[in-house]
Parts: sequence; structure tokens; C-alpha cells
Amino acid sequence: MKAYISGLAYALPEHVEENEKNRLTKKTGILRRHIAAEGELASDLAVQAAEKLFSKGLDRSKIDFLLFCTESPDYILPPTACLLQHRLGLSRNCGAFDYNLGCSGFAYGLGIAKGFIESGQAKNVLLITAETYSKHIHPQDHSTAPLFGDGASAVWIESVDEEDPGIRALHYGTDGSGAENLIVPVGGMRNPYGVAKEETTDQYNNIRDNYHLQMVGSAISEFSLEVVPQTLQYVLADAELAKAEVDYYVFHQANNFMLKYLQQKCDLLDVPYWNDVEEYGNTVSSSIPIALADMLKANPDKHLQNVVIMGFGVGLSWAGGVIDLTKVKYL
Amino acid sequence: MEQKFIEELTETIDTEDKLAMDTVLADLEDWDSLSFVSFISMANASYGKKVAADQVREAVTVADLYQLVKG
Repeated sequence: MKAYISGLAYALPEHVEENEKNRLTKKTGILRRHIAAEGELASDLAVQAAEKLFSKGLDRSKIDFLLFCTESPDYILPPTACLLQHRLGLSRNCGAFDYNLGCSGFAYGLGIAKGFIESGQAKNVLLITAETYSKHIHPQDHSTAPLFGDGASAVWIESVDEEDPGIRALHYGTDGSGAENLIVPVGGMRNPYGVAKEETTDQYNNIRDNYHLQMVGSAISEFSLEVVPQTLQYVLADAELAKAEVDYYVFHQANNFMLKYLQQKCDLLDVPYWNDVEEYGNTVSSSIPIALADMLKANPDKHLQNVVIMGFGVGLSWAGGVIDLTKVKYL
Repeated sequence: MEQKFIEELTETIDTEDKLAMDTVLADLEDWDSLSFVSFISMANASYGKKVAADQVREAVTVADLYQLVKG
């Protein structure tokens, strides 16, 4: 038995914020972003995305494992996945857990799902990614806020009687030495809520503090340009694919300029390469599944047997692999 | 080579100012944190050079940036 993606859906908050028409917007290509309302949580978006998938025909009672990727949980404990099992009306015989990853999270989720399915521990895995980074970002940090949008995706991975794998050549990487380049310092056990606020204002009047997301953009782009081309080499070699044999490249949709530099650095200028951040911004772990769903809708007649995905970001953490989307029935 | 670099830099930092090798970066309104990040990415993607943020910070003129990527 092999694990295949059978369905994809995504949900975005109703509220849309327009980015200012300025230098940053021109560079990032992000025109607007969906932003969760006060009290609208990642778990709420998760429910919407999953219900959308169910409404397309997926039978929720079949799900025997729920994976939930978020860095915006409802509580420190219990795991939000357990709350979702109840809210979504999933079977009590369904395993469920959260895992905390950002932009690499979707590729990891596929790896976990494949592991559970191909070792016979599960037949139908529901992988949900959901994030509300807007709640982590200081409202007056105008260098970071325009980059990130909120959203969620729900992906159904099922056990299929096939010889060839539907998820393969996964390669993972981690470099915790770069952890401080993308961090929310306060709120865990290291710096619990209540510690003194440390606020900085830069020359452009952007305010950041230790209670909100702190990102060193130059370090993150440098890291991405280093690990993505290298991991792509491993993935292609492992999958025994030449660059031109790949049907589509769908990398983490960070922003237009990062995607363009990666395309250049990876030598992917003449192949199908998805770059669409205009309406969403960087939705963290949901950016790849959202892009996959849009790409599938835009290419209904294309045979998408070898699609390369690549996620990279907070951790620092990265992961990539090859997926077969020819068995997607619910979109 | 220098001309190509200047064209690429103009595009990278998205400026309407006319750049020359002796242009002082601090005089450019568009030499901001965004340009900074973009330059490091451009050096890496176009020239295969890993340029450290400190090296870019120390650069005074366009020629100093060119030194970081050439050869």
C-alpha cells in the first residue's frame, strides 16, 4: 500500500488587508493578505478548511489519523488536534497530534502521513496546516506585517493499492543555530508571559518587541538560498528525475523576490515554477498546499505525476520531496 | 562587467537614481533594509557569492559592493 494525496482544500479569513503601494510591496509582489479577526483562531480556519474538503465528498468517518501543523495553538495544552477531532466529529478511534513547524511543515506532514500509512498504522490521514501569524506580529512592524497572511489547508492522504509511491524522495534538514533569526521570544517556558517587554524602534519607525515575531530577513533569505538548491539536488537525485522531467515546482510561497532568486539559483528559469503570492502573502505551513490547490485548478489537463515541493523557514527547518497528484479526486 | 553589475544593482534596489561606481550608498534614498536583503540575495543568486551582512554594512560606495561579488 502506498500513500497518495486524494484531496485538498483551503480556507482564508474573510477580512482582507491591502498592502500599501510602496517599494516593499513592489518587491514582495504581495498585494493583499487575509487576516484573522480578533478571536478567530488557526483552529477555526482549520475547521473551515476541513469542512470544505468533507463537502466535496470525503467521508470524515473514514479518517483514522489527524495531523495538525501550527505555531498558533489554542492552548499550551491540550493539543489543538484533540479539540479538532471533537469539533470535526471524527472517530474516537482516530489518532491525533499537533506538531510545531512553520514553512517546512507541510512537507513534514506528508512524510509523517506516508510513514503511518505505509507501515500499516493508518489508512486515511487528514493533514491540516493552519496559521495566524498576524497575531504574532507587532501591529506597528510595517516591515514584517505586509509579508504574512493567515490561512489553513486540509489535505487528505489515503492508502492506495499501488506499487509506486505517491509521496517520495523526501529530504529533511535542520539548523537550530539560526533559531533566533525567526522567533517569538516570549510565551513559552523560557520567557513566560509577564517578563519585561523589550521594545526596539528602527530608523523607519517599525516597532518590534520580544512578545512578537522577530525576523532577520537577510539571514532567512541567505539561509534559503543555501539550503533550497542543495536539497533540490538531493531530491532530484533520489527520485532519479532530471530537472526537465518535473511537471511542476511548487516551493514555499514566501514572497515574489525570494521565489525569483531561488528560481534563478536553482536554475529553474525554463520549467513550470509556481509563484503566486499576490492575494495571500506568506501563509507559512499552508503556502504549499494552497499553491498546489491553485496550481491543480489552473492546470486541469496537465499530468502532474512529478511535482517537487520544498519548504524552508522557522527553525531553521527545511524539507522537500516529490509528490504524485494524479490521484487527487477532491479539490 | 561593471556596467552589467550597475544595471543589476539598479534593478535590485529598485532606484530611479543614476548609479555609478563612485555613488555613495548612504546618499541613496532607496538604500534601505529591503535593498540590503535584496543585494545579499542577488549576490548569491547571480554571482554565487555568499556575502555577509556585515560586509554589506561596511560598504560605502557602489564599487565596494562590486568588490564583494566580482571574481
